[in-house]
Amino acid sequence: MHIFTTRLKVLLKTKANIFWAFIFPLLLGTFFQISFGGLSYDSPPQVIDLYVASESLDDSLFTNEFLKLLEEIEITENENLFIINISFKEDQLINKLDDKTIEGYILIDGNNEKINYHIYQNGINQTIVKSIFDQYLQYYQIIKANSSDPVKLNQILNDLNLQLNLIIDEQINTYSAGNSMVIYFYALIAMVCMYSALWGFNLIKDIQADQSDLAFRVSVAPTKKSKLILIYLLAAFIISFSGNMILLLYLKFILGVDLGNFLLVILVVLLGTIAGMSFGGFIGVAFKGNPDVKEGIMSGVILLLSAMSGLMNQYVKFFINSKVPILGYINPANLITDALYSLYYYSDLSKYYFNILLLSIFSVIMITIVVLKVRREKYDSI
Amino acid sequence: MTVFKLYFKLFFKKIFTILLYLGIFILIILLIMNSSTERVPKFEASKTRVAFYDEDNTELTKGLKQYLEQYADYIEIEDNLLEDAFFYRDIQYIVRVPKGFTDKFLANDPLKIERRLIPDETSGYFIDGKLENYLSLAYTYLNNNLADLNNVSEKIAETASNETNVFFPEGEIKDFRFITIYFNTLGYVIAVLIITITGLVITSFTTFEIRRRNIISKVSNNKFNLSLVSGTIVTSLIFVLLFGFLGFILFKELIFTKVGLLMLLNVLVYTIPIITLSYLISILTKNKMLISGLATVISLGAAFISGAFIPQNLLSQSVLNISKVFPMYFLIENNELLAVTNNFSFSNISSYYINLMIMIGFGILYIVIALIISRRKIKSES
Repeated sequence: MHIFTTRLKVLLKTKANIFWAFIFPLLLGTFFQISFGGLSYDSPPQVIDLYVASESLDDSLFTNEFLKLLEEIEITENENLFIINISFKEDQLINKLDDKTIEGYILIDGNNEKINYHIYQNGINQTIVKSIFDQYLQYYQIIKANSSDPVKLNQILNDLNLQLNLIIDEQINTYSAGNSMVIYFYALIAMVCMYSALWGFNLIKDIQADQSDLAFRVSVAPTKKSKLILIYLLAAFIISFSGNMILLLYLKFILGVDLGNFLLVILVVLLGTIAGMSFGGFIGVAFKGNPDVKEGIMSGVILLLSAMSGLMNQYVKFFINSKVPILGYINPANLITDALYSLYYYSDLSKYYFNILLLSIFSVIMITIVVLKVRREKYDSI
Repeated sequence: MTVFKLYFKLFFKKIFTILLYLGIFILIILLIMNSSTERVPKFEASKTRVAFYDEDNTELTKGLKQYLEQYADYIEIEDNLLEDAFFYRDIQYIVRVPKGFTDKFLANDPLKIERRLIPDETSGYFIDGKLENYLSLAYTYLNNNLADLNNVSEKIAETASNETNVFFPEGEIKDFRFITIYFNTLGYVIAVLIITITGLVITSFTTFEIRRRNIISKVSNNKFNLSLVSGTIVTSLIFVLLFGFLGFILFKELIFTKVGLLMLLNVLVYTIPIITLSYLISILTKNKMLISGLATVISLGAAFISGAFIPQNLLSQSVLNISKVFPMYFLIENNELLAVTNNFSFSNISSYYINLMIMIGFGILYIVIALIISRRKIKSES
């Protein structure tokens, strides 16, 4: 017990330890929330500036009805989708388009009933605009073909404008219609779990006699090495796990991130912390040489694993999962992210358990290597 | 010169770690670039991956499938694999046409088509629009006896062939969206890389004994600091050149355009505040692991709220206002501006030059703070 409390004190007195265990996760969680809290993927389309070449303006029904339609489309009550500008001639608009000061312009050909849409690049706005134009062209043809019979035409116009509401969200057990932004938070939890590697790494540094002065002292102490390792391990695990749990509580209760069944989430973080620590231990024993270099390797690899699990861009994760799925299965950060995401996404737990199983296998392999390596270490002299 | 030379001696001593970091970040950049095809919205050209389940199988519903074909890549998949495929985004849109749909289509209480989409992808909503368009036309045709069930899909296809003519500027169209993503990602990579590596080298100078030795040497504190900053400048320049070269490999045709070169200048200027910031951090703490943690938090946090990973136009104005405390915001704002500019007169892109000045201002601010702290530290240590 004495060794345990001393060790706990030693660990908690190190500035870098406190930073990594407690401050680092909370800071990043806050940054993520600031960023995603204001995200507005579902926001209605914004007002679009529409330039109509002044040559377009003729007396044809096609042109007049088209311009009337454009003026009528609203995003919300009293807010029109288009701000229409008809004060420029086509050659002026061509120059503007060349300078990219406008996104596009239209030239209406009333005689041939055509709309020519000039743009320099495809994008969301252009897609929306073209869809509206296409619909007008189609409806215009139908109306024109039936204009001789006013009663029928009236009925057709009614039908075309009718809101059919024939599409509904699929009734499913999964929660896939949810917000995929949660992946970023899950990847953050995964990264923080993986950074528990620091604790595993420091543990090895403090017990391998050739790695630090402290370890040299410890290795000649009368306490049994296995007992010492166990105590050190427990102290490190408690701090690391507490840090990760604080992040989890912060995300759930203060930032309000949707996490799914909380007990199962805690299990992921528990196993994730173990996976991280064992990975750190592995780096500690697998490479010989300067601890600084090893720390560098570890941080770099963790960042890469986190990037691959979707930390910086969720599409990286999907890209890897579809191109080289095996990389997803051996990447502990990805397994943590997937376990959390599957809790959020699926109603049944098979995918969750599958990820948990792979994560446990990862830890067992790492721990086995560490134990085998550490047991063999004997020094005649250092 | 002695200090300057020593800086490089230490730099090369850490070359293995440095190269490893460099390799990892290049890999992260390539992963982000490769998976970004999903993120850049395209004009119908990129098709949505759709799973289409037609349980009704009539002329009307077969016609619907055909109609959507120009916007969708149909993926045949067994029902039990569907959830996983959607989970991993191999499928982006699921449609289920229920049995008896056609029979009840014109009735007062029609059956509904179920669909599932990924909430934050525009492609899904685009398919929604096309689906509604088809059903609306079909309803109008059938309800007004303009077609019957056997030829309604043909009629719709005929109507739908009335499309807006889209024109792009003559000559080669250059798409700057990917190079923009590249330079935005560099904002993150350069920050984390330079802060970490500078920390790695400079902390060797800040150990207590070495500092004491340096204080009594002939070299003045300012000169000493200047030499270290110069060392950092040279190594950082090497990194920027390397990334410029990588940019050249990735975007051969774009990098030597005005946009490409201005983006390169932009990132070069951005490196100034990053160098001085990294120097400031190295002075604040001697602990390498703490520096590595700060590097991760600052660069990742700034990257998320400044729009390096998520486009700035999706972030709310309040988030962007917060992110203005980081030079990265101005780097990204400049990149986004250049991507949609073709008129490079001073008046048209004056905000680009203002942003460069702001970044330099950040650089000066950090170094002034660093020099003040450095001087205070000497006083307290002596």
